[in-house]
Amino acid sequence: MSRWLTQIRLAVRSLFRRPQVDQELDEEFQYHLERQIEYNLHRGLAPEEARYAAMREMGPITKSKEECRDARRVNWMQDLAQDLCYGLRVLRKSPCFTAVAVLTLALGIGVTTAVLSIIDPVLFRPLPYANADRLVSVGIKHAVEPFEFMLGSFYYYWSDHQTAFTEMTAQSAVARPCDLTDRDPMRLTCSYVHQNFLPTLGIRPVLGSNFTADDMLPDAPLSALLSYQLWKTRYNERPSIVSEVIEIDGVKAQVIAVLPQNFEMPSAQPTDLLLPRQVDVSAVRAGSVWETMRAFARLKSGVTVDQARASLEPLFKESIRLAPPQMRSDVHLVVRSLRDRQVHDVIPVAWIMLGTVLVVLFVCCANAGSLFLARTAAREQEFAIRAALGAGKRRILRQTVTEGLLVSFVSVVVGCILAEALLRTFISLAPDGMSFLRKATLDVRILLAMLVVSFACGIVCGLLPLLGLRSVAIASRSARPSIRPNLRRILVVMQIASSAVLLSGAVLLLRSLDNIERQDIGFNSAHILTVSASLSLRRYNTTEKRMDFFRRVVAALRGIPGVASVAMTDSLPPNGARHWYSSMAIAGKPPLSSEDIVSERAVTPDYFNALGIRILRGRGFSDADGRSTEHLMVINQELATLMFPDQDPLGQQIRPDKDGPFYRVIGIAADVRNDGLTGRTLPEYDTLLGVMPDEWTSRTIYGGTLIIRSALSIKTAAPWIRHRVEDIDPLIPIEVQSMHAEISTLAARPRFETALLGFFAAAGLLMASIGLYGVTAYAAARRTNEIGIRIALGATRVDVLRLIMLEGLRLVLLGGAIGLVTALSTAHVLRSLLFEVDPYDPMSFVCVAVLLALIAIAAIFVPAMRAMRVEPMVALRYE
Amino acid sequence: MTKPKDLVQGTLDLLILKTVALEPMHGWAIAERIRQISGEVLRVGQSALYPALHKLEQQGWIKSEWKLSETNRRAKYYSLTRAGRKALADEAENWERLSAAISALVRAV
Repeated sequence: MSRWLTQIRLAVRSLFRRPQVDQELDEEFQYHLERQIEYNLHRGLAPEEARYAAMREMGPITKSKEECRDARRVNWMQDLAQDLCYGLRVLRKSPCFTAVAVLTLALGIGVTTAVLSIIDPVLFRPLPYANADRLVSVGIKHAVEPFEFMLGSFYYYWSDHQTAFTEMTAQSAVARPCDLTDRDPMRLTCSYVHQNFLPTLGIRPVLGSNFTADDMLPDAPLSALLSYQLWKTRYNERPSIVSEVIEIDGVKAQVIAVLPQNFEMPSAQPTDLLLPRQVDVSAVRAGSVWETMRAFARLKSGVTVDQARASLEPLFKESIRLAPPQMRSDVHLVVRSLRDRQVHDVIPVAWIMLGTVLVVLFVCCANAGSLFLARTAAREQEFAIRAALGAGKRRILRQTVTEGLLVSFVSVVVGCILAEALLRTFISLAPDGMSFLRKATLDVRILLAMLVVSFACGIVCGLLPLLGLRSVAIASRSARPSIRPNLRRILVVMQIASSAVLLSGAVLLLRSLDNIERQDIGFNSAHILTVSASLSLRRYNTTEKRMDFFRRVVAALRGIPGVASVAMTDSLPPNGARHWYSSMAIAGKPPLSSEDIVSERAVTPDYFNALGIRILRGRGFSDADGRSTEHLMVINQELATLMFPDQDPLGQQIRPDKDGPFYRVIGIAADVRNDGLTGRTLPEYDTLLGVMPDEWTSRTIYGGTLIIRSALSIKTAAPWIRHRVEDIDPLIPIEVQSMHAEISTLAARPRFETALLGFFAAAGLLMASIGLYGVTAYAAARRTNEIGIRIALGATRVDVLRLIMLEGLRLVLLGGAIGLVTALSTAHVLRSLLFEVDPYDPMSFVCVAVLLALIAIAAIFVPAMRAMRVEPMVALRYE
Repeated sequence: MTKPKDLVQGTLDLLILKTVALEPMHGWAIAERIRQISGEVLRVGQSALYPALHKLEQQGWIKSEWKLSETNRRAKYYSLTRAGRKALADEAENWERLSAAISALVRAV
């Protein structure tokens, strides 16, 4: 221990009291010399002779001193300090090189860190449940619904007979809007869960306790669990909230617990309140109450997901036999891990982003390497001189590596700032469907990894001169090692190839986005405002009350000056509710058997008018229809062709549901997008919301959307609209939006993907052009002499321009060709993200080639121009 | 003469440690003592001696202090530390083993 202390003390002394240590060393040697002289005198030599003999015997003292310093093992530290100072001076002397190198690396680090910070939580974040890897989602999959779901009767049968799970639980299939109606009403989202929901997931409330079995009974007084966020924003985190009574949709509810801060529904739907699913279990078991839900289960230890699926298969077969006929075909069992359910949708995007970002990182590192190579070439003389003065190869390499590390250190700092800025930009661009993005923060582990990558890059950059250093000692300016220019060319070709790949991806996505935004959605979205209102289920508990409310609102809004027409619908295109085609029937015809899904919508008479949907044949609904008691229906072109391929649809009687009435078809409307912006147009039928309450049944149970065609801006109209609705019922929260904004929200995701890939492509292209510029400028500079001679011998300036440009163009052609081939062979991975664009779209690839060529030529042209202007005399004196 | 040719690598450390084990000594005296005791066979030049001394000091086997010499001038005196004493014992044992082995080999052949 004391030995270590001694060593450290000595090292510190040698390092920081260097003059004193050096002086002591001198003194020691001086003493030795004097003693030797004395000894020689003593042996009888003459004074002069004694002195010379002593000095001869001593040998070269400087070398010994150096060895003593080495023995103290501090030389490397002093060398390091010296290297650092020298490195800083060198870098400061060439600010352009330094800035470009730092920016290049920083861009690579920043982009990679930001993107990986986003991807990592998506693919690998821990789910906030106990032993989350044992949790699975259980359900059946059918085209009507993108995620697996569960039917009540199935659920109880399965959970009674299953053997694979320790526990099975369920929640309501969708979160429902609900209103907090005590003072200061507020729109919330409520989810209904079973009693064992929280225990199965392994979640304990931060305050209070879970529902009891009694809370689940159909007539039990309502109890509620608050989300942490609601507790924080609305109740200031006061602990006494547990025991308070709140009012939900006009019903008193006892708050019994507060959920943990990191709580999220396994279905990933945002939720403010958890309410007990109060239902008569025996009725659901018997199938007399139809209930859809999402089921989750915890695997028994040792049971795999596949085993669980296999063990559920017989139960599934048994249940499906009893299911409604339209359910029986085209449906299958799904058991998958919770993580799989959550990330399945974003995995392709995540992988594409990961691939892209690694390409960008590679391009950046290659560019940095290329820059350093060019510099080494420029510094050949300096190295040669240093070698001649006695610097070993190691010493020179240590110097260049130090410079490389300095650059990478600064880059890491700049890169961190860039990463933070990028992350914020990504988050602000992120569409709603990617809510996970909003939680992304810079990941320290990724930052550390980037630090390693960057330093590795710095070291490699510093070591690159090694390739040429073999010849440094004898380097003359005419004998040039040929390996570096070739390496640089290869790097540049690879950069151009990589950016061609990125660019083609970006162009494809851009075309796809353009298609999405410019597609004909079937109606005119300009000058349309939408007002969505959802009614309190408790207060508006009858169809008559709901009908009355909406009819009054429609009438009230019509009265606003500047409003051309007002309509109401239960669902707003380009979305729509889905219905089974096979459950429909045509009067006087055999049952329909197609497996198609149709879209259904209930609308008020002005609907077609307000949205500007063309009626192709027959007529749309009129106000008179709205007052009549006849059931009327308008179908879209798609449904007309499907249902009546060789008949006149007008006047036909269609019955959508087995127990419902027949509707007379009075018109055929043009197709309107009804399966999202990018889905195909489904067959659709629209029924009339008129004066008969049975038309208003379940459709408007959670509210509806009003469509207002008006020249007023949303700013002017919104207060009017709010006033009018408040006059009718002040407790109904409404949301006013422009149709444009609504549609643009739907396109947010493709826009985000395009922006991201576009950004990468731009970054890659920038890097490649810097690389190309560097290589051409360097080659031109090295040939200044040659150019001078050529011009002196009669070459024209254009010849020179051609000479330099051709060299660069060769690289562009090669890189571009490699890049386009790679892009074509990998384009298929983008297929799932593209809308009405073929992954091999020739137009896009031509665009890429042209764009690449233009930018590359610009990058070559500048140095070529400079070479062209070379004055022969100057060039010849250059040597 | 710098390093005696017949000085086995690492033996110089042993010689120095052994020499300064007796009493604190400065560099010249150490060289002189080695020369005398070896009967003029081993001559250690400064170019080998001082780097070795500094290395041993850095290793913590010997320590140094400035004192007035017998000729009344300031000189750097080296003396053995406790760690050095232990190292000396180890090195000496190593040497005994090595030299015995070499002798045995030389005689046998």
